[in-house]
Amino acid sequence: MPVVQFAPFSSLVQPGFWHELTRLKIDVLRLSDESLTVNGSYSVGRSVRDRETGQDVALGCNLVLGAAAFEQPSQVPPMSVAIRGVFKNYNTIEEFKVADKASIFNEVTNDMWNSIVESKDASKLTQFLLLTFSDLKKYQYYYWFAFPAFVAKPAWEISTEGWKAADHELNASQLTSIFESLHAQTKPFFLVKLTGDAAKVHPMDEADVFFASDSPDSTIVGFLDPSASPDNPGWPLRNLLTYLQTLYPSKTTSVRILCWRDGELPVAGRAWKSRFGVVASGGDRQTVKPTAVGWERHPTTNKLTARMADLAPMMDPTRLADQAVDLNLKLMRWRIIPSLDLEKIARTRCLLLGAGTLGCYVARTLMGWGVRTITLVDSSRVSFSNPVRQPLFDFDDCLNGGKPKAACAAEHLKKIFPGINATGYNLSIPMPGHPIPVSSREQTQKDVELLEKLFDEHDAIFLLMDSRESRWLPTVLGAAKNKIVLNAALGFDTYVVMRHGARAAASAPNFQRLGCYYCNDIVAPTDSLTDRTLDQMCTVSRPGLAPIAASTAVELMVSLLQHPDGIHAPPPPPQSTTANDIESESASNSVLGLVPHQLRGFLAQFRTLPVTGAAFDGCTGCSEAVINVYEKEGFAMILRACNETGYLEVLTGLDKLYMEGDAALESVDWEEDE
Amino acid sequence: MEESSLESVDNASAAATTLAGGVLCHQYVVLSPTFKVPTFYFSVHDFSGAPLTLTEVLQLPLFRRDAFEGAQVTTFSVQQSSASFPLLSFGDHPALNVHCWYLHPCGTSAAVEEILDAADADEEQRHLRWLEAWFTLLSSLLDLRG
Repeated sequence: MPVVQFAPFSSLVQPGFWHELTRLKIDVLRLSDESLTVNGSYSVGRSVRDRETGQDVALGCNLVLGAAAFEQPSQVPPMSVAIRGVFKNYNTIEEFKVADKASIFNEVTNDMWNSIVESKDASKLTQFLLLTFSDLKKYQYYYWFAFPAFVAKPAWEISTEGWKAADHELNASQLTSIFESLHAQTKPFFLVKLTGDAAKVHPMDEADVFFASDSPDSTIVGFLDPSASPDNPGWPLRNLLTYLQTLYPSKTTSVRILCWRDGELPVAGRAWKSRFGVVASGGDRQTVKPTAVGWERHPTTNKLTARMADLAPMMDPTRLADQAVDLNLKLMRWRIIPSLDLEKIARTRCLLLGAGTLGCYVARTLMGWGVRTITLVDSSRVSFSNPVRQPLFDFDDCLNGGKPKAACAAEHLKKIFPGINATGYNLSIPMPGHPIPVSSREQTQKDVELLEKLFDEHDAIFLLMDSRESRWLPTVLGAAKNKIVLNAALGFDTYVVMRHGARAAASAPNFQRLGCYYCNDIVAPTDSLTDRTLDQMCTVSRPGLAPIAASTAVELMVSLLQHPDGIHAPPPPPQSTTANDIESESASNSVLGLVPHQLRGFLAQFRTLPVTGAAFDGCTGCSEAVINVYEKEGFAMILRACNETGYLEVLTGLDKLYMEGDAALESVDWEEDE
Repeated sequence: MEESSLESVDNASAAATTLAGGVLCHQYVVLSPTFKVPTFYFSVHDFSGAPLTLTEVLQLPLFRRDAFEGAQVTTFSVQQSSASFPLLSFGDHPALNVHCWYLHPCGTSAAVEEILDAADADEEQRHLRWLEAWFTLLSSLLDLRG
């Protein structure tokens, strides 16, 4: 006859258990690793119907631990059984690994054996053991359950008929009265006496009486069965059989077993779930404690190893912040614009040249869009006038000469959102019209190398500096390396926000390229900073202007990113500023709407004007003439551009343009009024 | 951390039937004190007690396959597509003090009223009809079959 295969317990822990353990460890246990009593529970085995195959799938033979595990006494609903367990929490992973597990296991099995031979108490037949190590910094919990069960030698065997449905052995009214009795007072183990068509449930402590009588055929041994597998009775039956065989050996060579699995009365048409079988053993009565098994095997590897519950994603505050921001952005996509590519925005690495008013507001808005990499570059320190207008600095940052702006801004970004990858570089950008002294040449060359590396490592660059000429080198680098360049500049109550067009070498031959910051100006960048009066040296703007311009620049970038052509996106056709035009599927629209080339804002009129500027082939910033020389000569060319007046004009042919212009002026015959 | 010598293989133990990738989902219907409408809360964790992350939650069969594509709901939703997905939010269960996901109730009242107006419900049965309509609304997003 086949050996009975018992379904082992599978642990099912609820998050509340780990939260409660954490609280207990911090408040009560601290470093103690004394044994505690905890409570788990099991209920009748359940299965679900797989919607796709139509098959019933048995759910595990589960022992459940929840937040109430540490409470005494334990309360369970009907048709569930409370089980006590021995619990030990170790303070280090090493202690957890080297703990004498066999010894602790033996303590539990000794207790169970004594309850059989000395106290004849069936209530202690099902116990468990739980060893844990809680890594509270990482929110990870290592744990190992054991469900000790005595090994019968020889093993119990099931009759050749096998396990069958309970209603093949008992009729509906018998099953119903068993159900009602168990529902009113749930017992893990019980005896059923059949008299004619009736069935009566008796507690296991009446076993003496039952087994003393001479008609074992009308006695059925029942247990609340957490297993749902048709041919595998649940684990608690093992120790019950050991109990019966030890105490009533002559009456239990063959035992009729009812595996109770009906948590509710079956609804019309459905069968009873309980199972019935006859098991037999050729064994003698046990006089010494049998060996026991029951350490839980890892569910995926089936090896005897501990398990780990990783609660970091939902308990680590940094991960929670991460998730909240992510959810917020996803909601925007689900509710408003399903085709929004949020991942593309998040992975766009942004380099911000300038960490002043524009830089701070751009960084903030980028974080709102979920951008994960923001790098800031600035050469100055936080000064006392900064915090009120630059929202990444506060008063303390101004003291002692002031913290370097770029690094300070990056730190503040991390304080706002720990998941941000923010870095700050203290770097000066060389500018045409500001000759580089020989003593600084080496340092400047290193700075330029770093700047070039930063350009290579980022996808979008924001030019947010406070002078015109400082934007020259970044314009050249951005054009050469085909990066997205956003430019924002402030006047007192006016601003310009624009995106640079792609370089000619990267564009289709007849494509109408868009210009850069210098394309519309036929003047090469020169020194505009020296000899200015105080009010001209710092750009004094209406305070509301910078946030408007900064957020406009970010939204322009995001709209650009959503356009299939990216940096080559064409500007909107003229007069396309009404709502109707935005709806239409124009080639110049992204899912977010227009992707203008330039936006000029006039705060005095609360007006914004989209402008399109074509690229100028003689531009000192983005023409192929300039870029090619830079690519060939590198730093040497930059040096000349900064040191030599007129170098860029000659390079681009602007000098000839001036001569032509002067000549044209000269040749005009001004009529003098008489 | 394997300790294969801890116990010998026992031929009376069946293989454990833990479903790979099984999760436990608790679902609740709670009255929102602010919005005075029923709100659907749920929490879901794996068998080791680790709650699922947002990415894993979105893959649950609990959500209908088209739930996140901005698909239009049925005829009763005459609002713009902005109302097609109730806000999935994360917060505390009002009574049980556990972290839960929930469908934000702010748009519920309006959406249910749409259904009721269209169905021409009689006054006596209004509360029952209200709840039925609420479940209809919910099941356009969630697959609540057991």
